[in-house]
Amino acid sequence: MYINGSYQTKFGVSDKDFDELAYEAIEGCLNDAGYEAKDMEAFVLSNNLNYFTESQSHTAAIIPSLTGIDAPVFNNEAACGAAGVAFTKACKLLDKFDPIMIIGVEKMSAPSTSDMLYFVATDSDRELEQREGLIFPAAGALVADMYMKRHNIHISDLSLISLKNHENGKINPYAHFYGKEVTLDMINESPVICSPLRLFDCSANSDGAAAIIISSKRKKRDDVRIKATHAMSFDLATFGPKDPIDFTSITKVSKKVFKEAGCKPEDIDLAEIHDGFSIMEIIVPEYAGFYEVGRSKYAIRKGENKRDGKLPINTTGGLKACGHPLGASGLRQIHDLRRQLIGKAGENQIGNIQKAFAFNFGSIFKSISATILEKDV
Amino acid sequence: MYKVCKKCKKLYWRNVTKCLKCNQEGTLDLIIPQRFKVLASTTVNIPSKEHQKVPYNILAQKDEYGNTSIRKTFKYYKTGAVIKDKQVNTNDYLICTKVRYIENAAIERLFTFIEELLKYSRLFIDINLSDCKPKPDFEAGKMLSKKTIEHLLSLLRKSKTKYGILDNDYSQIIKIKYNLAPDNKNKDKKCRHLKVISINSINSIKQDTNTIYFIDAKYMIKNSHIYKANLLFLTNNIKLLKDFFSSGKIDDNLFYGEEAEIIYEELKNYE
Repeated sequence: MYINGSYQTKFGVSDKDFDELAYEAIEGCLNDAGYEAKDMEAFVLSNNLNYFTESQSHTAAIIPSLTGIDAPVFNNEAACGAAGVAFTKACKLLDKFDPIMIIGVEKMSAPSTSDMLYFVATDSDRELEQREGLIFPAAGALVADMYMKRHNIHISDLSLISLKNHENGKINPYAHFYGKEVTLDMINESPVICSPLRLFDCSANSDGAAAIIISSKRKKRDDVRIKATHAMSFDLATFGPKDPIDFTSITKVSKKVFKEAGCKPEDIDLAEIHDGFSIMEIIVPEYAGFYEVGRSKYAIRKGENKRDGKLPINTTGGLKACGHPLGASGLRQIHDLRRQLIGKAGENQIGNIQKAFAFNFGSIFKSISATILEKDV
Repeated sequence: MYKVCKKCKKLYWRNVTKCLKCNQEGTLDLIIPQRFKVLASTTVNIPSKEHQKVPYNILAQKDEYGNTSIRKTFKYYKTGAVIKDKQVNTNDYLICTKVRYIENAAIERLFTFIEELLKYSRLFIDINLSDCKPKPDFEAGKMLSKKTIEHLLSLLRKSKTKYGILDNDYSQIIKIKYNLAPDNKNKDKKCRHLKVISINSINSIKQDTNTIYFIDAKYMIKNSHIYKANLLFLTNNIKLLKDFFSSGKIDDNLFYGEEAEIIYEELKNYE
């Protein structure tokens, strides 16, 4: 399986509507891959909140409205993990439809913050979490509080993650925070949203779209090989099990994808880790096998996850600085890995790399997808 | 309130009747925890559509069976603090429980608060089944759920007390009399009636002496809209409930089960 082309709109607060963002991503991706819309045998659409934000359900049928092509369109909704799961779904469909375009779109800037928090909270368990006021920053905060205490992680470790991602996002023209200087003082002094998480520990609501075309055939020289991809969903409620911060769900998906790719975490040159909250960039690398549980903090302190580090993570800014349009983030991660693999990441380029790992999830590690890409030389 | 499979230890929050993972009958235990230890907490400082009043706290808590859950509170609890359900110990009371998927567990929880009171009572249950008759669509929410009544009867059967139903075909009858203590030895016990009503009929309900009101508030009608409130109440003083609904005011000592302020905040979402 190959990625023949990909495209990302600028993430952030956009004048463009949902349909216009989707259209830009579709057209940009077709141009990048050298296809026409009529070449697509199917589409997979990823979106999370259109019912709330645009009063429009049945989003799948928007795709023929934009492309003029009557084709199978498979809708996919899995909270913040929708795009990653959509990508995996498309790969699994590739023996039936070839090529396939995956499109992720979200329009988040129009509603008020209060409404948006509620809309996003509907991704959590209605009775057990929504009713208890567990907006997502609060869920991230409870997890952070417990995880930090157990593994002796300091709030300054979270600051370093946020700072690194903002440094990367500052030079990425497609990032929400492009060109914006964020200092350690700004992070440390930012208001507490849900203790212990501060404003700069949370990713921003953004407008944005991304699209990727996959095929079983290599079309051009800079196509990227999809070595493996896997997705799983887990019990919706964050709390319930005796140990709610034993994140074996991450390990299950990661092990499967590494086995399918025939490689190990140490073979990975670059990772895109879903950092909806800064603490996630500590937890995921540990349970995915990059570090022993409780050891990520040392890598962060040593700067190992910076662009010039041993294992660069989120080299274009992550969700933190790129922004987080829920239905598009997982595709943006894969698009950015592709840019790095083919040497087209601009100022964010980290050099010659072979293998890259993407990890995307919805709710608190509930709908998880992981993908390994490889440069096809 | 959840179910745990004895065989594989899988925890289910939803009302499953069989552990499909093990694919065996009868492996599920219903758990109604009553004691919680605070593991962690966060203070939420930003209002959201359904939770306008800030700051509030969310606790991660571990119950006496070792399983975890979360709880919203306007109170402050330290890590390690223990929160327990307490028995009714006042003359008047309003008990409330959220229905979290497993309704029969919620009903059972309601009655645990007056377990001690009922020990010294004879209980007759009056269920106005006319409330259960199908209504036009726009009034569907006014119905007293037949499922709720089934759960209530099932709970009383489970309590191993003798009971009598006036008519065998209970879908046709108006009243069910249920005697928790029918034997002669208990003749002197205080006689109480349990009236089962829908929240949408409380304005027409008058206070009777020696009566406990079981109020089904899973669906509420406000301004012609039907809302899923998923609440159940038990009270011996219907005025307490009426006042609470109209103003949120109630003596904290008379409110059992949930935190009064939290429930009133929820109810305001339906205004």
